[in-house]
Amino acid sequence: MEAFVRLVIAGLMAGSVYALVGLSFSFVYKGTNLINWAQGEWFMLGGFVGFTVLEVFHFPFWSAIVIAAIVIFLAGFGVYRLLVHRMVQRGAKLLDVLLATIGLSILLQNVAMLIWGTSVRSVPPLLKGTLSLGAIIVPRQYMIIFFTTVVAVALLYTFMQRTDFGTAMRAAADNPYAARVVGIPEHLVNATTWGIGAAIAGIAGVMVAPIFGAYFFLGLTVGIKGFAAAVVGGFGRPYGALAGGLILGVVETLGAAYISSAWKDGFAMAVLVLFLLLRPHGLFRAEAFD
Amino acid sequence: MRRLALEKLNLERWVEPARRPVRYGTLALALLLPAILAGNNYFILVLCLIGIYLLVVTGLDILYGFSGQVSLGHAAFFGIGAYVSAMASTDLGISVWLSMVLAVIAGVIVGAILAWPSVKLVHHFLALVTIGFGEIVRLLFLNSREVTGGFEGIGNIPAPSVGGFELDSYSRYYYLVLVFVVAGMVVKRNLRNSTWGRKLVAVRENATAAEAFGIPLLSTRTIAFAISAAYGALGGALYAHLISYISPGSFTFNHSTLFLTMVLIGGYGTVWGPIVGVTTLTLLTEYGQRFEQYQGVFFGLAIIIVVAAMPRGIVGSLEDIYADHLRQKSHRGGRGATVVATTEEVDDG
Repeated sequence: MEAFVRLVIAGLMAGSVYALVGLSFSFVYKGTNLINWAQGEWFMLGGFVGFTVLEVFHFPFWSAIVIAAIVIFLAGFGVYRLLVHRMVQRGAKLLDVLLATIGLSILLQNVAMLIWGTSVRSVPPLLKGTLSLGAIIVPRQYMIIFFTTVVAVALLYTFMQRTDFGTAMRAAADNPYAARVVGIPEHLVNATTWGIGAAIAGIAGVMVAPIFGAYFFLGLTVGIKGFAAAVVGGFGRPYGALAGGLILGVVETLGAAYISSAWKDGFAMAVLVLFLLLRPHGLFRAEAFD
Repeated sequence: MRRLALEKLNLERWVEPARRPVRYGTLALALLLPAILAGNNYFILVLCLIGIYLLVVTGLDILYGFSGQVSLGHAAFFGIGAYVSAMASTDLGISVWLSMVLAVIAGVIVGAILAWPSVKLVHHFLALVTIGFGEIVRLLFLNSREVTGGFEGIGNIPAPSVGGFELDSYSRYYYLVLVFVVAGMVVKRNLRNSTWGRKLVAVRENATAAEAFGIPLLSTRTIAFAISAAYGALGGALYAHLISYISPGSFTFNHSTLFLTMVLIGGYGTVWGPIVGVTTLTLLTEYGQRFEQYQGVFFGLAIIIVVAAMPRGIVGSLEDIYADHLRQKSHRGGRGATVVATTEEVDDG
């Protein structure tokens, strides 16, 4: 029983990473009706920015988070302005943008490989050591990630529902034409959405880098799992990504422990495929049907 | 300005009579290449690979170009074909030809099973299902060690023979590949102009309207998936018996994106598109190994540029320019009017 509880907690901790990346997918989808496949790559780049700031310049951890957030926000913003904006104006559909961002993801992966090499770069944690709750031991860094995720979900939800910008964002996604008519700078809002979405994944990357290390290939696995988290929770819902990520993390950890550790990555894929095929709305309702 | 200049060129006087010679000229060149390159074994191996990829990509194009569905897991069908044929011919000792047939059957079954529930999904979600599917299949190859040999893969896969004549050299094998490629392309071309092909295109253009005309979405899309998977599995089987060694490393997500890049760069929905896309990219990867570390950067950029600026690919864009030119002519009452109709119907070289 104790081992089981320990596994569930480990799963929740791993799941909070997927939840954060899933949240970034959901946020971009909710705000612009588009999928940016390169979200996993923003996560990966966040890790490398963290590595560079901490290990090369020896700045404190909080500055790594701020710098990664700013740099990756600008990257996401830039990708929308320079690439996606033009595509959308020429009538590109979600599928075209998805394919273009797959190209972007391959490009970013290889650029990262050229800059930082093919080895795993280790990054020092924000808080060292572990926290013991009775018999259950959790690394402090994981606790921080878990709370970051919960806070990020709550903040984004409030941001979307309560602020003018959030309202403008939802308006631009619901009806771009009507949004322009009432004076919302639709393209600026969309670019900012892509920027914020990228920054969320980037922050996740910095936070997780002390655990996974910074590695150029990390974006693909984390990206797919984050996406699966968003799908399980119902694509486009902030709380959905949180629930989906946590469920995915627990399923994966329990599956690896009790069934087969070689299939660890397979469980996430299976959950993704099964959900899309059998319950594309996710656990809560969202729009995945034609 | 550009259009005016094009009009003066009288393109159709060159293009229409050139279609047939170009088609048969390419075929003749393909037939003669091993003789021209006698001795350059590596190049003939690359030619075999081009042919095999051409089959896979032609199949993927039937799915994407005709029915508009995207597969980002086509390396899985390629792998299923390779593994089924390899296991049947080594472990079970079945003849190579029968193994290949089994491989294609396995591909069709898996393709149909994957397609059957996913036909209701929006296309981009389908694309993501196929990513998950591809990864699961790769893990299956990797983790079922007793059957697939796990990480080490399967070796000593026999080469096929025709009536005692062993196809054991690259140039002999090349002709086998060529037969399949030509057959695969003829089937694709005829499919495009058949009732089924038109149904597929109708479903791609407007699923609701197509359904209203009585075209069954489920079976149409499932069949597109199954045919596409059959091409992929056949390519995989040919690959296994050519290289005689397979391992999970040859059937990754990167291979799936490579196949899709080939379709996109060449131009979807055409016969020439895959030829252009596969040949350029295979030659680039095989002969650009000196620049291996920049290959990924190039592929990424190529996908972005083609999708964003040239959505119809190289061949598709050329066709568009030509069709545009003819349309301009016909508006002026030129004799292009009838030609427009035929090129749009046939839609290939």
